[in-house]
Amino acid sequence: MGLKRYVMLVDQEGGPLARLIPRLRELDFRIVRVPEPAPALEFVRAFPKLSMVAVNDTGSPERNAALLMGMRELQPGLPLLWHGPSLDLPRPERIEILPQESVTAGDLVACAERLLYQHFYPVDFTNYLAETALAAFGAFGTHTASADPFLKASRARLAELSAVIAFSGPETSGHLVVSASRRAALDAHAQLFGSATVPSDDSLVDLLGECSNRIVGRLVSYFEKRGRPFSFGVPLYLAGSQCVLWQGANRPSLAIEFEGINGQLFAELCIDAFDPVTSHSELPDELLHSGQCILL
Amino acid sequence: MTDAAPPCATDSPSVLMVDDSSTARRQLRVALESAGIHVAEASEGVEGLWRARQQTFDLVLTDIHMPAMDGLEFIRELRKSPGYGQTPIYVLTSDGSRDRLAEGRAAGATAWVIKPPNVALLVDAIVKATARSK
Repeated sequence: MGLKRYVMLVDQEGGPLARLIPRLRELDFRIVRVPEPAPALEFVRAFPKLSMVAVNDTGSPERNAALLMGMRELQPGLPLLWHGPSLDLPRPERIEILPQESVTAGDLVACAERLLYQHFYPVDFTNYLAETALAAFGAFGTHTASADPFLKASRARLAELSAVIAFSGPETSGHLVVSASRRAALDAHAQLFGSATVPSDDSLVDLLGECSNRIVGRLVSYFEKRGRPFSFGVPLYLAGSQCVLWQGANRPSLAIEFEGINGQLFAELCIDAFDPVTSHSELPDELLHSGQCILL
Repeated sequence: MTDAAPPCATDSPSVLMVDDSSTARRQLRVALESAGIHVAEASEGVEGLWRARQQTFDLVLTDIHMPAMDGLEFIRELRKSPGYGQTPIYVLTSDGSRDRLAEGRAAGATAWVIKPPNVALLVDAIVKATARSK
């Protein structure tokens, strides 16, 4: 089936899960719609590379339970989104359950995105990236309250000023983008150096570049410990809202929006090969700590 | 090219800081100068070598990932320069790779400091290192 990613919707034509389709297409997923449970199970059995399955109520509690548990048995790690009445399942964990009533299209899409980003970028890695970015921003006086991860596949940049660092190694390559609105960048600059003079765009993107440098520096440790070392380059800068970022990798980026500040601040990471299973490690995730001085 | 170093008082440590990020340079410069350390800046390795040949510094701080001449190449070249065979060279980087650290050791670096530095510890290390080298 090539390099396309597939999401299966188990639903009748024109059913409620159709509300997911525009966003899934935007994220470059190919959609397989199957109206009946039996062929849906067959598809899961035959095609182990599904990114997600969303299931709508079949009208029968027994058929619902058999379908979901059957899929879970065939593919234990498959992200499942259930849209229907509450379920009484022996192992409901790892099934995202959305009650049938009062679910908006936004709720459905948000739920699907959460499952999908967890499929591409495991939760522990997402948390590591968010914590690393929070620490990097904090070192430059920008203390954000929370981080909200989502998937991004479009070329649009998330804010007006960006710094990009590419990295590559034998098994891992990709790029990290730190983007900020002018207001967020100006605030960060003022926190560091005061607000006596208005900084140039060069100074603002340099600040974002140093943030991205520190984040990628931490990611080196994370991946090196998992047997996937890489090297990274110097930041490239983009300023202006019309400029797009061509993303060559065949998968969506993991984007994190940092909240609780004036303006917008994002970290966006795209890795072209990230296998959550082989990337698991029992070792602690900090090999070297900030401020640590090692005499050579 | 970055600004020239201010004239040094005779007994204050003088440090050459090589980093392509003006933010990182400015942030650390403020901290080091407030501790009485004289700081000269360079934005990459070639400029760093030029500065080092204009004036002898007590200690050199360098980033690794820089355009034109990166930090490892800068260290190798600096070690060959007259007067810098024993000068403490501290790498100041966000790169936590063990492989890179080994490359730094082979190139002739004295210490590897992960950004952001603990300024108090760094100042202490600079003062001790320059006292030893005098």
